[in-house]
Amino acid sequence: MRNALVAGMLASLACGVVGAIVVVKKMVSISGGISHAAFGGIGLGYLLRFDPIFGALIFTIASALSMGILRERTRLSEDSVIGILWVTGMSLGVIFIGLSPGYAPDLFGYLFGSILTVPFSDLMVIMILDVVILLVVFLFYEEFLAISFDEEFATAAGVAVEQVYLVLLSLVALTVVVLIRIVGIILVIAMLTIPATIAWQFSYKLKQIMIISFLISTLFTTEGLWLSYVLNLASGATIVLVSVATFLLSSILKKMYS
Amino acid sequence: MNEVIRLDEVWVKYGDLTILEKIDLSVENLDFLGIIGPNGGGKTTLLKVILGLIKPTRGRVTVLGNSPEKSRRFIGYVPQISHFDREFPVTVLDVVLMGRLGRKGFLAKYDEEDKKAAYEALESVEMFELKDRQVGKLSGGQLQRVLLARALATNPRILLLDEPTASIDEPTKTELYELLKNLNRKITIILVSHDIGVISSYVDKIACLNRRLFYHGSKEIEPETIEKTYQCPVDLIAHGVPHRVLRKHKRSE
Repeated sequence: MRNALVAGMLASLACGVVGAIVVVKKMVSISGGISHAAFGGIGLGYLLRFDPIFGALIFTIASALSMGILRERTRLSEDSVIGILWVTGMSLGVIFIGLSPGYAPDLFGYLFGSILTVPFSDLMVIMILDVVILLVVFLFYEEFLAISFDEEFATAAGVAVEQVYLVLLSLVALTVVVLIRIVGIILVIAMLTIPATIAWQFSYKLKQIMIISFLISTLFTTEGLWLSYVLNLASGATIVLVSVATFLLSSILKKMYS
Repeated sequence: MNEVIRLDEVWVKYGDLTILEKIDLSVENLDFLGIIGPNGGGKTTLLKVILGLIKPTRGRVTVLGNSPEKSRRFIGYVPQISHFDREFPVTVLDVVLMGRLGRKGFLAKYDEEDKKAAYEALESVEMFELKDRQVGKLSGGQLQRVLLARALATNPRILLLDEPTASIDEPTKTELYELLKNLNRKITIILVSHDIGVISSYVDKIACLNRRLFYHGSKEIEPETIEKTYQCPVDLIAHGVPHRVLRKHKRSE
């Protein structure tokens, strides 16, 4: 249980910071595509008998980069690219798992989260990813803000927009891997979206939105864990529903007081 | 070098659709060129070609004796304000600092010099007091001035403005033109607009663009040209265009 609380907080750090950019840059669907593509990697891990989380890492990064490159280099609509990569990842996962001998343990955990059984070694992985994510966001902060606000001006001002966008997509990929442990592939998008959306209702500074969504997200994972423990419910889904309920409440309050 | 921008037979096509057809243009140092034409006439595309954001299908573009990509750090670009998400979490100062992106160095933070340039740019458009305000809370005229400040923060030699008067009232327009006129002492300015009223006494050269460029060396303009550009008769007086000496106009070949 203590591991679970720490995992929740560490994951909140990543999803608060990256989620803020995802929401203001309107990258929610592309992040959905990246997270579902992770399933292919999970399957590959089962098939070739390595830790599925590393498979997820490979697949999220690969799908993030291909989405970014296809968006820039082809006339395909971003929507369609997302759809295609999304189902490709999922289908590969299903086939790989089907081909793996015997039973696939923890599969349910990868899909819907298994924060309660997170081992210490995973905490270390999450922590390392957190450090990488925070460092990259610190270094690229001005560039991320610029390409989110006005991509054209950023290009004209000399920013390598395409490369910066690929870095951003890779960050989303890393964050997805962090979050898979907590809420699972299916629900990752909730953690990237809901805390940042709530934070955006109360602040117009990106840095503040990052910090607020980190705090809110920590609150949600803690609350959700506690509720799921008391009521004996699935932890990932409980965390998400706590987030959704808070979002509704905050939207209503915001509406009433403005 | 007196010629700062030169376009030779520039074409831009998207598939079968021709946006710009055989554009020849020469802009001299410290010109104040107004380009008018209807919506969809290719005005924004022309600016983006000069910035190197759009590659011409055919033809050559030279800016300050170099390719647009190499020269664009000397160009301040003021895009249309309509394409911004007004809810975006960014302050006035954040936006103006973006003008320093190309100067601060990749992955570096903004330093004192960048901040000084941003403050000066904000002061020159009289927006310094509002530097901490969210851009979404600005009026159209204020946002327009912030975008101008962002372009000025780059220390440009050339300023490109896309419909800068689209969403502002008459007194604010006059203020903006006074400001541009002052800037024009040191900076070459190209301004595009679909609003013929924009042809004020501030602009000193005028061109009409509707897929083809009908270029005039000076701001003397005749109704015939405007009608050709807009492909419908235009009541010049009603649009506030002052009477000018009319001159036989020559279409660029």
